[in-house]
Amino acid sequence: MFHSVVSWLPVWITLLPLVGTGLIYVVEQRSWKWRNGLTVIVSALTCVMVAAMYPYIARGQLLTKAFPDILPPLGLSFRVDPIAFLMAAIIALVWLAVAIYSLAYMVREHHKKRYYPFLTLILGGSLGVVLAGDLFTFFVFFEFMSLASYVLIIQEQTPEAMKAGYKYLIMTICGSLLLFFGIISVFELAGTLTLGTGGIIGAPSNLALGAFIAFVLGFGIKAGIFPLHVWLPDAHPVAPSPASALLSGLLLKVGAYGFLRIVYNVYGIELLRRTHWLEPVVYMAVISILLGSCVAILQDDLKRRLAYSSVGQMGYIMLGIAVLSERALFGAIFHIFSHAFMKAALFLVAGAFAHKTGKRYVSQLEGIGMRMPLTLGAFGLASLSMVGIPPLAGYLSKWQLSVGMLDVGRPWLVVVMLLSSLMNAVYLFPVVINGFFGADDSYPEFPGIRWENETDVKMLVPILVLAGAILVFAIYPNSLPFSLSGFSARYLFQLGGW
Amino acid sequence: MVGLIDQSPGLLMAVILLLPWVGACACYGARQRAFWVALSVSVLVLIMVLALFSTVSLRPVYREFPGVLGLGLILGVDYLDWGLASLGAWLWLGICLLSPHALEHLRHSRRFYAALLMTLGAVMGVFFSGDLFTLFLFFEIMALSSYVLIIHHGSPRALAAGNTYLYLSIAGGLCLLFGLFTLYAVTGHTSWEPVLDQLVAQGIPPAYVAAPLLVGFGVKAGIMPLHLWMVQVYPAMSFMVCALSSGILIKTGVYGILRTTMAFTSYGREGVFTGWGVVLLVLGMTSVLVGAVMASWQRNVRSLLAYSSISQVGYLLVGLGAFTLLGQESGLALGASVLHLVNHSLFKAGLFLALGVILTRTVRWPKYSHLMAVFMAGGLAGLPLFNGFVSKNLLHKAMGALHYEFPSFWTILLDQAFFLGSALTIVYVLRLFVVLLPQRDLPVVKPPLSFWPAGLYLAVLGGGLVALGSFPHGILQLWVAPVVTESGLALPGLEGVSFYDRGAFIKTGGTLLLGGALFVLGQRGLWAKPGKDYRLTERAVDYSLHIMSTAVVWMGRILDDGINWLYGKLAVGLVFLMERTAGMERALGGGYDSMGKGSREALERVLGFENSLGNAYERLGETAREMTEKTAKLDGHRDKSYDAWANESGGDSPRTSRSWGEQSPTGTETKPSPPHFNPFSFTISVLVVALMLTGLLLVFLIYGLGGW
Repeated sequence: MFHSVVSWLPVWITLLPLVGTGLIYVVEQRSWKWRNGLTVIVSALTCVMVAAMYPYIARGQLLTKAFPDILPPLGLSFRVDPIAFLMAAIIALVWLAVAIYSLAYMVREHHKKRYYPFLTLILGGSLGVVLAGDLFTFFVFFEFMSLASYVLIIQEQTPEAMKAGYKYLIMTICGSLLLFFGIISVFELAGTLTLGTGGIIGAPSNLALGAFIAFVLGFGIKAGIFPLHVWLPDAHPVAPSPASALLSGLLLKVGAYGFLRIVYNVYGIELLRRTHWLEPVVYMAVISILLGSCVAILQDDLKRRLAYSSVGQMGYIMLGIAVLSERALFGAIFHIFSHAFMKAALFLVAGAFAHKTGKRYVSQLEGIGMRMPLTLGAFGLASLSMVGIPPLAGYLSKWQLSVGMLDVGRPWLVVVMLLSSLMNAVYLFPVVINGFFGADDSYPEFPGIRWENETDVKMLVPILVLAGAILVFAIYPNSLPFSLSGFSARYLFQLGGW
Repeated sequence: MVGLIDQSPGLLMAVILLLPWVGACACYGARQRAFWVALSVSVLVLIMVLALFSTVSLRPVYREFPGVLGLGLILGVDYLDWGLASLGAWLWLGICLLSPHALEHLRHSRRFYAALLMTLGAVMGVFFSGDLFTLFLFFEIMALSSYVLIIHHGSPRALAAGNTYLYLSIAGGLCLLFGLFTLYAVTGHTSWEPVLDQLVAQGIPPAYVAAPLLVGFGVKAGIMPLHLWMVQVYPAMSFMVCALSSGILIKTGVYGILRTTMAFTSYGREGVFTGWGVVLLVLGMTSVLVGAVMASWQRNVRSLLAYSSISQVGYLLVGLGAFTLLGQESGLALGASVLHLVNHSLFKAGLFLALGVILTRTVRWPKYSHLMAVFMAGGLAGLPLFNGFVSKNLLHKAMGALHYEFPSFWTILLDQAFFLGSALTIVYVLRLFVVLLPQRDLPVVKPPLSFWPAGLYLAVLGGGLVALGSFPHGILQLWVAPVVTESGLALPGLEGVSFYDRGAFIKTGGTLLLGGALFVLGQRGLWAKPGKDYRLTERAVDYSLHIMSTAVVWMGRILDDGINWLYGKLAVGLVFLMERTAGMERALGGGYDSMGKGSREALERVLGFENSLGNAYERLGETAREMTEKTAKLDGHRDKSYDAWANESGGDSPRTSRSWGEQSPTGTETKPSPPHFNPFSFTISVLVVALMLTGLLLVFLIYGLGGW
């Protein structure tokens, strides 16, 4: 009886933000205070409900719920396994932090009546994606999420935002069509769309290959992998900073998550090992890693720099998924966590700088650490983590990824990752160095923390929580995301059989 | 107290690591008293490290922290670690004591002391690490916190030099990480136990692990091709940080190489990874000679001492190379290297401290500090009765053993190069004191804090050098011998080794003579007039790095912009295609139009034909009637019944013709018009249908070809 209640949790988790969207829309006609409060409450409640699933996941149970009668031929279904839970937890937590941050950040922005409902709407969409139990449900929520995020991208409605949004929209639609093709092909081949088994496609065939290519391209567009990344560096910087944090920190990961499901649940390890279809993805990821890091060095706009950095970091994740090694997958999943937190923190800090001082170029940020030491300190912590300096989360994911690469006998991929780490240092450290040690003669001595110079508390707390999580979850022995990532990787691998 | 330490030495280690970090935070809270916080923490750390001896002298201490950072950390202290940690804590104390005298300015003093304490904790962590992973962790923290010390001056030059240091350190750290990954992937652990046999048994070339480790540690140790940061950073730092760097930071790199060598040594077994020893010997000798030559050329005191440090680290590598290659005598080489490591730290850090006090002119006792500087330089030059003499002598004995075991041209060359290096050391020490120091003529500055323990510290350090040099057997038995035996080696002949015999004096005399002669020669010719600081490889490396980074960056840019351009072109192409499609479709529409016209014409023609047909029928009917009438006229005299029939048929005929006549005008009036084709009203639907059909056809085509 109790279990039947619990199995409804994924449904509620998905529905609550969707219902909340409507409520927020109604409420905001009356009072912006209630709207702000409601946005945070909805995010927080979602967080709590995600957390409520933890005991069952920790016990190794799966939560499943199917609705064959909704959208009849295939029906919707929900299924929570360790990786879905981890993704949902990451999404819900970062979303809550970003929602709180938005309250202070968005004060001076316009179109707030549009912003908050859509913020909540996309939360529901992305939670639906990760909790989906079959490809059809996945696709429905994926579309929902992708199209709704267009609104966040064009929030500012400047010409360049509209242009970037148009680019995003076109590419997303192309990606969706490809995904649709892939999904109907899978249905044709396998007769089912369920996720959760180690491969539902029995034998390689041309249609299977075609569908695989469609999946790679479709999810590649969402995840921003090399030849398909062109929308990303345009779209992420033009969005408001909290939205950029979500886009870069979470929504890219949803693309990677979809690809992971395709690789491990739809095609299966054995099939892909036999056919080597993942080889091109490995090379795409390698080029993404190098390219994203290279181009990021050249950007003066901080947010654009971070956006290119995301291209590189998504390359790590895709690489970890594509080399088919358990430890590399472990690293990839953990990197989903660590990059979500790092990149969200970095974008939020970039937003805090822009919000407080109006400076959004790296060259303008000299001496900002004297004014905003905590904010820049969080940025520094996240930067160190991005480079992979121990004892931070980025180091742990790099460790697992690299050892995984060596497990499958590919040391040159490790070299690529280390090279990219160095480049990460080259594009992130100057911000910190200029900020703390750059010439700013107005402060001969560090004045201590002055709250009138520092970021608004509502913005500072989410930043510090995200940055602190990078440190705490790395140092704490066998912390939750770490053990859960390992558990998920083992789970996905055992489904496929060795 | 002792009992407590014995019970929980692991706890004490953790406290030694964490206390400086707590102190670093306290420095920020302490406002103007950061100096006192740093000093008291240094004293406490020194006491605690020394207190560890009671445990370490019984057995090495290990303490695990499982699960931290995935792999778990291991702290461990043996004789070697303990000795180096106490050395570090002792030097830290001196740096803290002398910092009010020798810091050029006290701007950002809180930051300075906080970073100093952070680095202290990290260095203690490096020496207390029980495995490679833990070492790496603290190594990275040390690199970052020492960066803050290095750029403390804040000038653009310091920042530029600091960047070189930072990025080289990170690159070195990544190299280290690569070795660490490989080691872990192959052996499943990262501990310091000898792994050579395991690697060889698995068919993995040991160089895969050892070479990245050497590069990673080598960056920090400043061995010759990787020394770039030292010569850039030293002139831009304060003397205190130079002392720290030469005394401890580069020694952590050497410590890493030492541990790596211990893990990878084959103890002279033929053909098993002897390359390691050869590489160490070659790198070490290059560093010794090039460093010494470059040091003799410098005009800046700090640059000179930077090259001097590079040269002295070369000696350590040479000793480690001999240790790897020697079988029986390897204990001697190890002991010599370890002893020289400690000695170099003491005299080089002391020299920097004394020179810092002299050159920043902040003390009331300049004569005294000059004397101390001479003491330290005596150690550096390897004069008898100073500690440098002892360890260089031991190293030279190891060289002799190497020549005895592998008699060849190369070992003779090595021996001669060793001699030359020592002579060049004399040259640059002379140059430092004779040429560079008297040139300085700066006004005396009042120190913010004149502090007598600082002077006492220098005296203890200088006296210690002489004590270590005059009574070498004390430290040999107390520390060097346990270090060597701990690593499972015998130390033959060390008990009775005599340092002050005839041979040693002859060698020293020769070195002094050669050095003096070279110095005089150089004074006359080579470096008589002061010129620009001469730097050997820095420029070339700088440029190549610059070119490399530019190339990488532009490659990325071209690739990225290229893809964007490609998509743009693709979009333009699509638009073009669409236009063509629209044109085609307009043509199609026109076609339909004309087809409609055609059909209408055809219809009209058909109607016309019908009309003419109708006319023809009409005419036929008329003809028939006429014919009937004619026939009636012809047969007028027939009977009535025949007449009636003739009338009936005649009446029939006009009726049919009338009906035809009625129908034909209405037919021509309401012509059935063809449907009106507007080419623009059905564009999209037609396009979609056409595309779908094409797609379907393509799918079927592929389906058919693929043989699904």
